[in-house]
Amino acid sequence: MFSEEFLTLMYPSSLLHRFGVNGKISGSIGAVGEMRNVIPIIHGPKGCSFHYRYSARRRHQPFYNIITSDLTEAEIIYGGEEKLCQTILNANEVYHPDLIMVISSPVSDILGEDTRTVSEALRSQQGIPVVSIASELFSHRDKNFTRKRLKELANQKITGDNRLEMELKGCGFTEALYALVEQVMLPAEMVPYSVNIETLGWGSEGKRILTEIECFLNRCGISVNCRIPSAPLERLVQAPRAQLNLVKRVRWAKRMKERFGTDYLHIAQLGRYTGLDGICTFYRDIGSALGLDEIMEREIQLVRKQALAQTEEARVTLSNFHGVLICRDVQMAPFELKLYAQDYGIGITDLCIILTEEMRRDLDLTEKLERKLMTRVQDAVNLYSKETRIRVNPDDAMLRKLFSSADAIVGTSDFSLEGKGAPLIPGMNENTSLSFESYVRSVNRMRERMLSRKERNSLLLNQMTFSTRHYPLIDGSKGLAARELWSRLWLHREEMVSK
Amino acid sequence: MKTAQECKLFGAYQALAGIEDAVVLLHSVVGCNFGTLSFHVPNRMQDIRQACTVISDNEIINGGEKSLKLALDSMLELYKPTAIFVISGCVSEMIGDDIQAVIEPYSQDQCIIRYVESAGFRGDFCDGYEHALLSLADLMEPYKVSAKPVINILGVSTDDYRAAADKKELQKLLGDQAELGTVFSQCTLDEVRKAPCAGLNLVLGHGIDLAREMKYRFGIPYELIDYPFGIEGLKEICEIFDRRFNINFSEDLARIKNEISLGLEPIYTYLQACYGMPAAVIGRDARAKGLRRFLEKELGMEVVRFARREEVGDLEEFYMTVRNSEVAVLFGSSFEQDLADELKIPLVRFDYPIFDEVCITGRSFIGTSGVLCLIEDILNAVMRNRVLKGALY
Repeated sequence: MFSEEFLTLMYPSSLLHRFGVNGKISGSIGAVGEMRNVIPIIHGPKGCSFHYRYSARRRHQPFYNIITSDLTEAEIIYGGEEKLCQTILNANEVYHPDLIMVISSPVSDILGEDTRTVSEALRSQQGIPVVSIASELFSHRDKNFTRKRLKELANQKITGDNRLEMELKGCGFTEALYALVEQVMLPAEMVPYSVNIETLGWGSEGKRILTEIECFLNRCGISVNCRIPSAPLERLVQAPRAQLNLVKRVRWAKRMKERFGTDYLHIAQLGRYTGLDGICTFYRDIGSALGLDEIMEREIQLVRKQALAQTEEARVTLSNFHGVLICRDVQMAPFELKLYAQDYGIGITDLCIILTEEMRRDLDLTEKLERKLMTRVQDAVNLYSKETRIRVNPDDAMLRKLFSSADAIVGTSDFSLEGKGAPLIPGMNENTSLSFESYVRSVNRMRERMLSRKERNSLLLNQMTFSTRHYPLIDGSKGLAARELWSRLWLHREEMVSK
Repeated sequence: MKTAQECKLFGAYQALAGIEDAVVLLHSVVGCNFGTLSFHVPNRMQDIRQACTVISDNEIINGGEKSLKLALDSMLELYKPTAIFVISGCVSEMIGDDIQAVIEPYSQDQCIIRYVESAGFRGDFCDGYEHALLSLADLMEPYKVSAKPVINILGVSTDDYRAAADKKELQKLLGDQAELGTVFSQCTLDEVRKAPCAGLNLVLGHGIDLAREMKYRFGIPYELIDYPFGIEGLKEICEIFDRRFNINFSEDLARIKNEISLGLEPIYTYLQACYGMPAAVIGRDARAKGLRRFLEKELGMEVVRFARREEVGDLEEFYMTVRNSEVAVLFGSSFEQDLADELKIPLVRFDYPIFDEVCITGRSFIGTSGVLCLIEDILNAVMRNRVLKGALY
């Protein structure tokens, strides 16, 4: 599993995102990249198709076969639909794909190119398997989404009982799936007790998790109709056979419900599906949506019991340890506490929330909003770990004091905290997903790491100048200026202009 | 069409972003910024000197000049740069922003601000590179030609990941007899200004427009050469020095040959394996030609498939010729990995973009150690490519 993680980290995505975001084309390429024998054509100048081969939302490897319609000055003046048409015909002849997906670029969007009509004409008149992905927004996704979501999230119960369902506009991945719903899927007779699963965003052991989820569903009498969009094309066409869609993004699922009546369950619910209880809730929600509550509950209890038995030794061991939990994400803090205190059973003496000036500004945290978020953290303490003290931005002296009586620092990969009095167990070790097996692996791994914990006082990384405030960026570098510049131009543009 | 090279914007970026005390502002959409960064970051994470004006719906309707001004003000405040290069993209050119008018009021400040038109639909990498490099001519000042022969190098890109090491090797070769002047674009703005003190411009494929301009303005001659891989590459430079400056490097060259020979002795049988072996090369002009010369003349390989990126319309057509060959090893960029995987042959990376290798040890591909490093990389790539198993013999 970690070999995949290691390989993925060789694409410096998290660093790049400190200085920019990619265009929404990247998400569409990411979706096409999940599909089999599908060729993307970027309807734009050739530079887009050159760099999106690498900078697409595909960290594991480049997408080599991206075709361009190569718009030049002539098409800017006279329009590029004819050239697009030729490009599609040529791609079909050279690559014989199952499907061609035309992706608009900012240039073709400004030109107002009707890619959908071009595709439909080629499909109906010449039988070319081509569809086009429409742009909902220009160039990139909604930049205010994270901040809007945070505001909504602050009103949510930490148990996730009131559901939060927000649509991200301008997400290239969603736009691609939307095109599949609109132009590829066909009406089909519904197969009872069957689901489709959206396959992007399942984390470092995604493939394995999906297989495990599928196995559990099967034992409850639920079949997986297809994985969207990773299934072969003929399965995608038949996607409306499913009774229920399990989705990470709601926009395309809503369209599928409108067109084919397929219901959906939004599974990107912060809190509701966290930890072992959350996994049980996830399957209960599926059972409830399919009308299989009873059989599902029976299987959940059975497998839950097994999972607890398989982790009993680990949890008993972990309960003998005390840790300081560090969290750089105030909205995630309640769930981190739940995982470490409840699922792993580690005694969390202190929950330290790092909330820097820059984070406050970028998240648009008002005093009121911050208070609401902190109330959620307090709720989590009351629910999961009453003895835990909450500390916001403890200084270095305080951290050292807290670490001195702790067995380990957990919940973070901030290596700049190494050598301050307690061993750090990097946050990457905690990756419980939605399968019972992932819970078991995670708890047992945490036990191993706890037993073999060690302080790393000679880290090469700490020979350089890093600080908790700017982690993971190196301090004193031009990168900090670039980071600030990006923040102003991306998130705070309107305020800056009005000044 | 599968493109073999980038658009004009990427060319301009590669020509200018390497000027160490300057910053680049892409007046464009977010994708251009992220794309250029993606190729830049793998080897120079600490050196981020760029931003983008994030052209969005609002700018399409109302124009992007306000955003440009905002970005310039912030850049001046945060970086305090000696220069800002405003590189336009497709969208800012389409909406007709008057970029020159926006930057003009800044021209009295300490910082130099230059607008470089680089709409992707108006050209490819070469157009952007030549145009951007040429824009530096206006920053140059007439300097007295140095008593000691000085040469400038043109045609090195910002993200040529071994360029810094190559630069050191070149200086090593010149020793005390001559000096390496400005290496475009791995230099400072001051070095750009002082470039006219050189007695010669060596042009590695690209940068020819600036070389011509410098000849016209300052009377500096230029020589167009291939990338100096191998002994032959160094020999070409030595001959130029002999001809232009009457400096004889023959003793140095003999020493280098001897060192290389001694370096290769421990692996001579592997070197014999290269002899006559068919290879394919795809790369940018001078790099591709320089490598072909090395592979053919010095390693004795047969370069049976060869392409200069500048001449390749559809990359797939070149790939097809490689598929229809008996090529045993492929030389190209990281993007050629797919073809190498398909053909189950090793890929040796030597051409931009390279994003799946790092180079932090100063291993050059030129000079004495460079020849050895390059051969080491070729042999290691072949040895690691253990995909062919079975009863071959």
